[in-house]
Amino acid sequence: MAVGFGAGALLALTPLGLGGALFTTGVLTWAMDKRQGIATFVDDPRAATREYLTTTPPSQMAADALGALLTFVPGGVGAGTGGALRPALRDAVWALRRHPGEFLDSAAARIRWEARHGDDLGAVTVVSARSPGDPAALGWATTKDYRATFARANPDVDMSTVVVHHAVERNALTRFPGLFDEYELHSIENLRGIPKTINSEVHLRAIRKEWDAFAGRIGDGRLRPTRGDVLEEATRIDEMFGHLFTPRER
Amino acid sequence: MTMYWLRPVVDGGLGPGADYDDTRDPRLVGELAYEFEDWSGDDIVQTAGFWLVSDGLAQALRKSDLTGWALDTVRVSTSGVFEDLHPDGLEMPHWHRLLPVGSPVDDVTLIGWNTLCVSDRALDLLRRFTIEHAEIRPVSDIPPLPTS
Repeated sequence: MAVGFGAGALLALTPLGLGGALFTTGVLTWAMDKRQGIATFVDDPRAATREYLTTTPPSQMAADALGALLTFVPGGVGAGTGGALRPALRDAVWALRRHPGEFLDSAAARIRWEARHGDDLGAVTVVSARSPGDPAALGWATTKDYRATFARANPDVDMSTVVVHHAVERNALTRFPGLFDEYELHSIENLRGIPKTINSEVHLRAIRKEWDAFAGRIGDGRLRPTRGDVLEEATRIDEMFGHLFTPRER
Repeated sequence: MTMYWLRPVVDGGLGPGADYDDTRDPRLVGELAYEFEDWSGDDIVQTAGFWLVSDGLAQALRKSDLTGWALDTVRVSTSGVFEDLHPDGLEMPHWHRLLPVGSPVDDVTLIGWNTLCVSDRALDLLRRFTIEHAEIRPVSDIPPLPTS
């Protein structure tokens, strides 16, 4: 119930509004709770249905139906009271308002991930919205474990051979406060693999020097950069070092 | 006294919890937090506007008669990249924040908000430590400050 309430409150603050929040919260919460059953159903729908109908006592079926109701209803109540939670949720909502579609995509991907027990790195494919060579861009990560995100998106890369670097560096969160969300910076669009075999320390040091010079120029003007300014700098650095990355950026 | 523009290696950046804002004065409120992405081995490192010195260098500064510097505490952390590069860990010295507080007649001074300058005497002391990755240039190379 608590999950449904919280999720409903969050979603109500997105452009989905109350109705969308009610529907989405119910589906997501129910799916998280029933992930094992869903996994079985995905593997063999006929057998799973037959097993449920033949082995589940009527009392359990009634309990399942009641559970579904109790999941959907608190989601709706939470959606209605989302405004009261606004101060505490402000940072999360800042990003959710801008990426509602991606947020739902990531939530769905997370449910699929959980449904398949989460320990199979190949179970869910992370697809970047940008292609190598495109200007730097950000997506929305489903987890702060960015190495797992990179590994899922690049199953052919031996993770012991690369350092995973953030194109827009993580310290942009403190250097340029309020400009980015942590989940954006951990998105696959922002991750670059640098092979350890090419003396990654030297290249990473050179990249940090470029970012530090950028921070110095921004500081000179005592201005807050725009997201576009920062992404433009990330693109410039991709141009300089992208030929070294795995996968290649340039 | 000859002055030099010292640009230490950038081994990291502002760490989580640093309360920083370029549009505010002071830009940093509270303690400096520095997150190492790697450690080059140098005894002085930087991120734009901030400098850290190793405990050994800090002790040497205290024993010297150099002027224009102060020390403060810094909260140090390491990033995921650091863990990637050093999966078995890497022993680092204890770090202090170096504040250039001198005027142009001192051994350590600041031009603008971000350009660290040291005297030849200060450079002699620094060279007794590891500053392999630092850039040392004449002050005449310092670009003109932007006019606002």
